[in-house]
Amino acid sequence: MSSDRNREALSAMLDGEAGELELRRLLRDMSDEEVSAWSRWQLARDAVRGRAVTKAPEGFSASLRQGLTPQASGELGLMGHVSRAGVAASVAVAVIFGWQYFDGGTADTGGAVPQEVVQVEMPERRDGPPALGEAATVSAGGSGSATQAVPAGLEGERMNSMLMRHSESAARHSGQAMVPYVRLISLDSLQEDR
Amino acid sequence: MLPLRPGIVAAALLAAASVAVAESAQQARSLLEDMVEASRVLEYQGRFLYSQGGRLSTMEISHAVIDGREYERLAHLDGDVSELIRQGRDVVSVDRNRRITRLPPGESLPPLDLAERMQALPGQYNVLIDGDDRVAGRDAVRVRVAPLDEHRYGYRLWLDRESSLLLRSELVNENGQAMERMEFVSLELAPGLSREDFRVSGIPERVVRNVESLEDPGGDAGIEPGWLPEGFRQVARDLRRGGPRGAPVYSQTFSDGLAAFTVFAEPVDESATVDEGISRIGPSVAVSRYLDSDNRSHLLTLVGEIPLSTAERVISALRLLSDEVTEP
Repeated sequence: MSSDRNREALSAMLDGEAGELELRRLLRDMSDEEVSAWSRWQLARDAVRGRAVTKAPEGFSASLRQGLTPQASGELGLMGHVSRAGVAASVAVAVIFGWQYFDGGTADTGGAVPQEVVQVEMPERRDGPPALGEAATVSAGGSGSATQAVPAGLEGERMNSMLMRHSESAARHSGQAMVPYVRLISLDSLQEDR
Repeated sequence: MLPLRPGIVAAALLAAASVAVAESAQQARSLLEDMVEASRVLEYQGRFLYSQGGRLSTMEISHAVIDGREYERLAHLDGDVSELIRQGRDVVSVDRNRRITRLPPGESLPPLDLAERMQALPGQYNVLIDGDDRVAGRDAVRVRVAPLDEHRYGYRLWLDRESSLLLRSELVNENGQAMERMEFVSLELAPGLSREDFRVSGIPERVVRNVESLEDPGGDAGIEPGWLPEGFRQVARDLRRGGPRGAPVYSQTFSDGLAAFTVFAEPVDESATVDEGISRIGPSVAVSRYLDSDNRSHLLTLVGEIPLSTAERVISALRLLSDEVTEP
C-alpha cells in the first residue's frame, strides 16, 4: 500500500469520494501504520480548514445551494443531504438532525442522492460550529415550500445528549451488539465537510 | 400391505417439518445469544463499512477484556475523526469538533442477563437460520429475524462460524429494504491489544464535558407508558442533567430484546423554543411533543429504532407519574 495509486485512493477516501469497492479494498489492505497516518491527515486537514471553511456536501442540490448561499455563507454543511420526508401530514415542523433527512428505506444504494429537497431557510447566525447531533429546524411541508427556521445550537445539544443516552442503553441492554454505538458515531461524521 | 393413506403421510411430514423448524428456531436463538456474548468477551479488531440513508462510512472497532475490564474503541476512519471509547461502563465520546463527552455509568436498574433479554424474542420474531455465506473472507451463518407484527423492524444477520461475532448486519423495513447495513471487511481475532489501544487519538481541543448524573428519585417519579408494543419492557432508566440548559432529564429505555427506544421527559418553561415534531435518520426516529400537567409543561421525546407509527402511538400514550420531573 505504498504506491501512488493507493495514496490517491486514500485521499479520495479522506474526501469521501471513494467508491464502495475501493473502500473495501483499502480497509482490508491498510496496515495499522497507515490507519494511524490517516488519522493524522484527518486532524491536519481539519486544522488547515480551521473549521471555518465550508464545503457544500457531495450531492447537495445545486439549486438549494444557490438559494442558501447569500444568507448562510459559512454554514452550508449543516444541512447535509436534505430530502422531503414522509412525515405525518399533521406535523408541520420537523427537527432535522444536522446530517441527513431521509424517508426510510433508502439505504443500500451506495451514495444515492435524494431528488426531492425541502426548501429551507438557514439560521442567520450561529454561535459556533455544530457538534454531534446538532439540529436545524425546517419545514417538512408536503409542497416543499419555505417556512420558518430557528437557531439550532441549543436543540442540537439537546438531541445530542438524547442520542448518546439512547445508544448507551440500547448497546447495553438490547441484543444488537455494538450497532447502537456504530450508529451514534456514524451520525456524527455524517455532518461532514464543514 | 396396507396402502398408505395420503392424509397420514401428509400429517407425518408436517409434524417432522415443524419439529425441524422449531429446532432451527431454537438453534438460531442460541446463535444470537452467542453473538452478544462473543461481542463482549472476545478480543478482536476489525474494519467495517456502515451505510444508512445512502451514505457510506468506514470504521474500525477494537475490543478486549483486560484484567476483567471490558475495553472498546470505535473510530470513524473516513471524513472527520470521531470516536467512542468504552471502559467498563464508562463511555467517552469524541465528536468531530474534538469535543469530549463523558457519560456517567449511572444506572438504577440492574442490567438484565442475556437470557432474560432474549426472552421476548420468540413471541415477537421468527428467528431462522438462513444458510451459509462468506463475509470478510470468513465462514458465516446467515440468520433471518422477521418481526411478527408491524411494531418493529426485521434483521438479516451474518455470524462468524468460528467466533459467533457479528460480521454483517442489516436492519430491514416492512418492504424488506435494508435501512442500515454494517459489514466487516476485515476481522482479526485475538490481535494482542493493550490499554494503549484504547486511548483517545490526537489531542482534544475542547474541555471534557461531564454529563451529570442525578440520583434517581425512584418510586413514582418518571414516565409511565400508557401503551407499549407487545414484548417491550423497561430495561433502563435514569435521571441526568441534559442539554445546555442543565435541566433534569428523565429517561427510560424499553426493549423487546433486539429493538430499543428511549423516552425522555424534561420540564420546560413557557419561553421554550423546542418544536414538537418528527425527525428520522436511517432507522432512527425522534418524536417530540409537549405534555401539560397542572404545574408545568414537559417536553416528551422518543428516540429509537422503531417504525414511526409505533413511535407516535407510544408517545401519544405516555403519562407523567408525578406532576413534575424535578431535581431530587
